[in-house]
Amino acid sequence: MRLADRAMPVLLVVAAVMFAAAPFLIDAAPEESTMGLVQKIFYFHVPAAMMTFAGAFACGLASAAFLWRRRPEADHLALAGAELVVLFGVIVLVTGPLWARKAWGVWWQWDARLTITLVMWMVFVSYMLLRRFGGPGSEVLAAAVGVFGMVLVPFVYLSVHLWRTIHPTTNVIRSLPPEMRWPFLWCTVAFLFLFAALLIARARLETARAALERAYLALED
Amino acid sequence: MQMHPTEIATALANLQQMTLAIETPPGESIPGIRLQQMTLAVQTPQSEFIPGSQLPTEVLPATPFVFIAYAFVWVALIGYLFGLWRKLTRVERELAQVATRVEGRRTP
Repeated sequence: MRLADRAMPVLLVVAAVMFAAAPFLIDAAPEESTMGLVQKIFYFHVPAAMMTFAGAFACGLASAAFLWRRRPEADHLALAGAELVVLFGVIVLVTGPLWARKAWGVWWQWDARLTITLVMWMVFVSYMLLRRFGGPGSEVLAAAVGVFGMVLVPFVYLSVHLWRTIHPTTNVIRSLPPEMRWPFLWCTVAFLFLFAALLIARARLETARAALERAYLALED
Repeated sequence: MQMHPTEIATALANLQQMTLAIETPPGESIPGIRLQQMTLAVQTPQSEFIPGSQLPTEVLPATPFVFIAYAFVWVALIGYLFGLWRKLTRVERELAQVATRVEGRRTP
């Protein structure tokens, strides 16, 4: 059994414990002065956004490795990363508008940060659709899409500094007081452990599917 | 589209503040003075004073938004994890069965 497969249940248990404790820490954190209670969405919204970036990097780097060496393991990891971008991206795109409705008075604003985040998420949805309906050989084209999706990450991150936007800047994280920083770090680490466990499990599923396909072919011969 | 007098007055007052913010040499006429006169002309007289504490402070309650956001995260993550676990279990079980059949064919 590989090291990653052995680490997966441990990561999952630690993440579960951390997620169970998270609401108590978030509840104990002080309310933000201008937004009040609704700002507490931040403790899950931002880590989910970070995991979206992590998934995009996992997919993009694994796709680049697959395009270079054509190793199936890289392709399985790329697919797992893309699926996690879609999952954590949905969380970001649902919790963000819930926060915005209260803080800004609107569900959605077509500003740089929100729009480019939606575009990046749609690129990875395209990746998944390509893998699902693209037929044989679609993994190569999908890998190119995965690399392109990863390239969008710096633009999403820097969009709040490059263009005028109503979204809070990335400096907010650095300026957090300790009583808000620790719950945030706790949630980020919980999301990170969960992300790692899901990435390993999803890649393992894809490896098992490929092995099953080979076993059926061997049975037919 | 016709504007309500109070809306015109508010808009002019904002414009006046912006205009007066521009530094001009003393003694020179500035557009802000005329604006002030216009503002006074269109502003309707106030018939009552309301303390700020009596104004509505929060239209939308925050609790439902926070609750829905956290509930969605939990449901999405648990749902995905459960779905993934089911698929993984099914595929690995099927793989073990097929592998046994392949081995059975190979052994004479």
